[in-house]
Amino acid sequence: MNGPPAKKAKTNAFAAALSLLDDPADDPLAVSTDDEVTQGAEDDSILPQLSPDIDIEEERKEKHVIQDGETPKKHKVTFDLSPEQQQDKPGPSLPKPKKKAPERKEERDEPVIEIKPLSEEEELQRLKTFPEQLERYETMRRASFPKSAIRRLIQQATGNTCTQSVVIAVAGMAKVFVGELIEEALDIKDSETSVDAPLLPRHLRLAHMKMEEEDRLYPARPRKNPF
Amino acid sequence: MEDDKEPFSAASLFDEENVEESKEDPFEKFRCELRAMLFGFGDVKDPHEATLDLIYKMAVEYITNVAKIGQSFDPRNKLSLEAIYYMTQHDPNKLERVQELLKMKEEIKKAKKDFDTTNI
Repeated sequence: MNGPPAKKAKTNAFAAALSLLDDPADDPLAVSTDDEVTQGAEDDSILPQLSPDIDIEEERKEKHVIQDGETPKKHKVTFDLSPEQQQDKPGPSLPKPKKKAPERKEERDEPVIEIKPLSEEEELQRLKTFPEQLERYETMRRASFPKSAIRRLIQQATGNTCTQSVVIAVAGMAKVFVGELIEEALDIKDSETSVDAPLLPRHLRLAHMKMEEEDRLYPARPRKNPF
Repeated sequence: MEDDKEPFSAASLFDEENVEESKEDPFEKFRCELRAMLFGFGDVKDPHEATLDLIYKMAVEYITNVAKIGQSFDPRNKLSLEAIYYMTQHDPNKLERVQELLKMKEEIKKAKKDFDTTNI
């Protein structure tokens, strides 16, 4: 396997094969799925080439986005199935969302305005207009706790070694925790002072207290009995 | 990381410096990554040192708590993956992140193996 490019080709081929199972009524539209498929492959080259790590993570996030909500599709192809139905079909992975043409969507969905699910490509396009935000996003994706430090902390706490998977899992959990804490602290700061002000320890303490009240602080602490 | 477990080679000036640094090095790196996270999640480019200290303490406390609480689920007092799944079952963010990371680890391992066998 050659990594991501071969994977994309595989999913596109699978998607094309799936589309052949459509109703005969959709034949004229089914032809354009091939165009859509090749266009999707070309669109991916627009993605900013930040680093190989980020590319893999972006792909992972794209697939993740698909499973969340409906994928924006041009026309009634099998990809319009709800996520549960899609998971029933045998196959390696779900097809990636393609950039849809707005005119076609309006033709078919005039009375209902569909909520567009977040697509990675569109988010990155939007971010490109704000280089500072892009830098922030890149820093956020790259930052990860060093495995050696986490392993040392776990050994100090338990007195036993642990597997590499556990270290990776705990690193991820810690990053999510730090993210939640900082977001709460930033919300508190924004309500008190300006947006551009630096974060103070006071905000962090208030956020910590708030999270403690909401029971989000520690894993698996027994829920506070309301009675 | 495997680098920390290398046996001591012949003594030299550089080796001594490395030994002293490696005692604090992982935590120095930890602090640097935390500073990057502060900026990444929304703080200014140059956060306060006091903020960094406080969030460093909070992160260390969190990881220690995860280890201690997870350890109590195992008779042999070891932190296992099952304990982590049990602890995060009510927190969808963390659970999904853990699953994603482990899935990526498998994919990277597989990709590396394929790369090694094809490039001989």
